[in-house]
Amino acid sequence: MNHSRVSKKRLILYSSESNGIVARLQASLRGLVLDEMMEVYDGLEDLALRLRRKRGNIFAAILLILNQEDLWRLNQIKAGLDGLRIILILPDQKRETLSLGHKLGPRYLTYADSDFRDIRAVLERMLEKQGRVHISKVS
Amino acid sequence: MANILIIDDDYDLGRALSQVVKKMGHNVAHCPTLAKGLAAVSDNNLDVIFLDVNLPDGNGLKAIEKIKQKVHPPEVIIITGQGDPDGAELAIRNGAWDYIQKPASVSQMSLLLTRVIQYQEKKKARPSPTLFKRENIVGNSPQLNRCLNLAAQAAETQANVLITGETGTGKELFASAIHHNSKRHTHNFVIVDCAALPETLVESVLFGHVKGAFTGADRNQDGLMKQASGGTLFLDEVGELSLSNQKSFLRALQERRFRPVGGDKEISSDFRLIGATNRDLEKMVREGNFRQDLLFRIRSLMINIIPLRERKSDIKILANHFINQFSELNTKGTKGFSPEFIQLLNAYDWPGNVRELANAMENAFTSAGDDPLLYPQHLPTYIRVKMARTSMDRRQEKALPIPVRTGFGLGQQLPGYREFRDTVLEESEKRYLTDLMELTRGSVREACQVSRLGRTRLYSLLKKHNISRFGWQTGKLSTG
Repeated sequence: MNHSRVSKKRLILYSSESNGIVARLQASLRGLVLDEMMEVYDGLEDLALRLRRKRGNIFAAILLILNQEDLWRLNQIKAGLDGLRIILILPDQKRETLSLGHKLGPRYLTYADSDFRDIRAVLERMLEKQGRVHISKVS
Repeated sequence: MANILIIDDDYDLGRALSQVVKKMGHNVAHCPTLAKGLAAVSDNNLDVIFLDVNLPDGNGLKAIEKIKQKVHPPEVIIITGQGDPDGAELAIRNGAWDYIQKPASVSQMSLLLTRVIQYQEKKKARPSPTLFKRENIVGNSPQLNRCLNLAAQAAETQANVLITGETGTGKELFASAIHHNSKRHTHNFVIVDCAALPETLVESVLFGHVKGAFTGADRNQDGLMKQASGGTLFLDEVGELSLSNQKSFLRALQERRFRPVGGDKEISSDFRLIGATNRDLEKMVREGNFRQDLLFRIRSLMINIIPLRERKSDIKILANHFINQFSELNTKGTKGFSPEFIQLLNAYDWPGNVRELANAMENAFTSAGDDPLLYPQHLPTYIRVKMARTSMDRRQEKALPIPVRTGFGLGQQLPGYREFRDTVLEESEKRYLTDLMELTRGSVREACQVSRLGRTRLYSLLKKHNISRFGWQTGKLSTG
């Protein structure tokens, strides 16, 4: 039987569409965050509605942005993201994209063509620093 | 010509210092008590105040905050006969210009006064700063306003800023406000969460990398330093950087030039640095965990945000702000506070500061449902439990002593420890002072020499125990 450190903190995962990138991201976080602790939203309206509800133990939000318009619309609901640790995944390194991205105040920023090992490492460190990683048995 | 006030019950000093000030061509007044001094502060436009610590009617250090609340506050020079490093720290942290010990020479006083008056004149000549946009920084306490004044000053300069304070005090908010009030507001505010970055990622994140620099580096990538060019680089939890990362960052900070990982060409970036930490960096320097040269460089300006428990007047304002925010977000009606709710908010010490208060208010807002008024039971359970336990502990301390069979005598009751300790100290102090007056026949000068107490301190103690200075010459006791 293997022991693994798995977090029970909840995580928001947003992308404007479900696609291979989202699946790849979820796969990279497996073993660190329980699937049932990940709240996945593929529409901005759903995300906005969720952010209006009580946060509970939401720890961070990973925002996977596919285009600038998505980023611009996210900036409109920025107030709802206040206080959340944001990990931002941008589609490109264009000046305008970066400018809109930084307005969201991300704690970590990477790009959609990354292998997401960096996100896993950052998230793991964030959870360790919070002291909220629970040891639980995984077969 | 400046207006100087001396608040000191030592008439000799007051007279001597007044002569020095008049000779320098300035106006001067002398008040022997704190109450008269504060009245003079309130009624006059003053430039400099010489303020004694141990005054007959109060502690001068505690008055600094009140003095600094004036719209154009005078500079305060603390002057006292007793060297006290903790008092010195308290004076400087509360905004005193300087802290000097009696006896100070005429030249020392003159030089100090000249410098502080020059500073005041330059300050008056400066054009008034434009209104500082506070963004989401909420509160009206003098302590918070002092931090906002410092942030406003920081926004006008390009100096590196270090913001310190406990977790949840709003360091990032202050950093963002400084950026958005500065000339750099049209460029990026870039956050680097030093605590979130594994050591191996730090350089690549900060400096960027070139294609092929390491496995997975499929293309060139700019680092956050480059992305902050023209704007502000905010290093949150800067104390979490490893010594190795500190070294490479220091080099880049000094030159504003750096090489991307794997690259051979240096690139430059015109960023303004703001750092933040909840750690004691000076202690880390002493322990060898933080570079002193880096600390000096990042700390050109310092802003220390005090914990919420030390600015309780802001609690209700913040609570209102958060409730209104949640009400807007949820498009629901806002809620009021019952008196018991506010009482509990004020009594709790908020170790998590403003962030903890925000979470508690969110909890209360949700728990209340459709209730228009918030009560203590709407707050998180852990807060109510902690307050209940604190209240029990306090009651136990004041409780009647329980009868025990001890060395105090069978059947006698054992007092609480603090009560016992305070009584013993009080009695010993009075006995000592009575013996002192008897020995020196009431001569204050001799009594100061024997006891090594300052004059004002001695007066204060004699007054506390109602011991007169007179009537000792005939050997007659004269105590209250």
